Amino acid sequence: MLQRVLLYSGVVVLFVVMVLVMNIRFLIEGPIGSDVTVPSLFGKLHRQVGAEDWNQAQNTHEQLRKTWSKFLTQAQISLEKSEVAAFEEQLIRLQTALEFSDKAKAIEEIRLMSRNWLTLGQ
Amino acid sequence: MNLSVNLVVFVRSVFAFLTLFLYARILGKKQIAELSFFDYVNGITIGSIAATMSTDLSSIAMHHWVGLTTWAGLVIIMQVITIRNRRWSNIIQGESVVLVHNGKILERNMEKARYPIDTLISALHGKSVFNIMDVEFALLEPSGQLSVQLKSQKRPVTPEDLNLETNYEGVNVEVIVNGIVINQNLEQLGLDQKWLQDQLQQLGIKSIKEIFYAAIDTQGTLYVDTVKDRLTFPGTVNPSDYEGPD
Repeated sequence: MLQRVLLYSGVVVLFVVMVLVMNIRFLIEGPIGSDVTVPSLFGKLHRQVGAEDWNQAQNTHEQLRKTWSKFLTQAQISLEKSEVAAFEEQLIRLQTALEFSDKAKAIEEIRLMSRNWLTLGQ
Repeated sequence: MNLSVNLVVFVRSVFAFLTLFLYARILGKKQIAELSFFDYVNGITIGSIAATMSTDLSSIAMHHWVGLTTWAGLVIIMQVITIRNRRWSNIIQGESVVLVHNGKILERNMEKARYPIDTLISALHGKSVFNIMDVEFALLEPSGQLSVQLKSQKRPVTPEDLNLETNYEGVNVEVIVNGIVINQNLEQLGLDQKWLQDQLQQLGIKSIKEIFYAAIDTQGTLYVDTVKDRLTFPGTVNPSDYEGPD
């Protein structure tokens, strides 16, 4: 009887773990163990670009790139290949806009990234 | 991509495999030959979803997992309905159709079942029936298999026909497999390892490790197969006609 209970419990635990891993994107907003979340950096970037503080914005972009990279390592199992590629392309386009101090383009990319972040993994 | 794509495929494959394994266990033990067309298509669809979940990184694993679970769930619901409700069982699985009655082929039923005459003849041959006149009933089962009942004069004679008494045969009980004694089975028969050792000594076997398989029939006779086959005459038979290099 105990063996049967253990077996069924094991199966249930296994399935719960599988479902959690496949949905990890919705459980974390940034890398596990880090206080910085990806959406918080969108807000920071938006303010810095609005104030045309291009040097700080480039630093924040670098921070966003690193945070995204760590997040991706942990959540890739729950994401689509095309979503990841699209997000990384936007990161590059944002970097170019910041380097050339193109405010309109930078704001557009930040807004697109924010929207894509919401639908990431859905 | 940050994480190796191969690693993602590996993890997804493990998830798909474990899910499929569990659902296959829940869905039952029907053999391929017993599957209805609907079961067969379900099996293919579930397998296809699992394969896509494993390797198609252009979509999220969870979507496939939900699809897999839904299909398996629906099949289980259908199975429960089939078992509990005769009417629904007939609708879902279909009914047996009589194709031959008293040596006469029922063309209308053949047409309804879309069963060609060549297939009928071939299926009868597969049942060692070469004369349709010998057939009392031939039924096309929902699984697509043909069940045949021969006319009473054409059936093989059974001990019952001859009023002969037969002994109960039952099932052999395994007591040693791969050199390991199955104590549980020995105990069920009211025997112990000492009895087993004595029997083996009489057969000239010194160690249980020498035994590949041993079982006891309902008459109490011990069947023993050793790892080393002690064949004397005519020795090992090689049915191959291949004369190639040794």
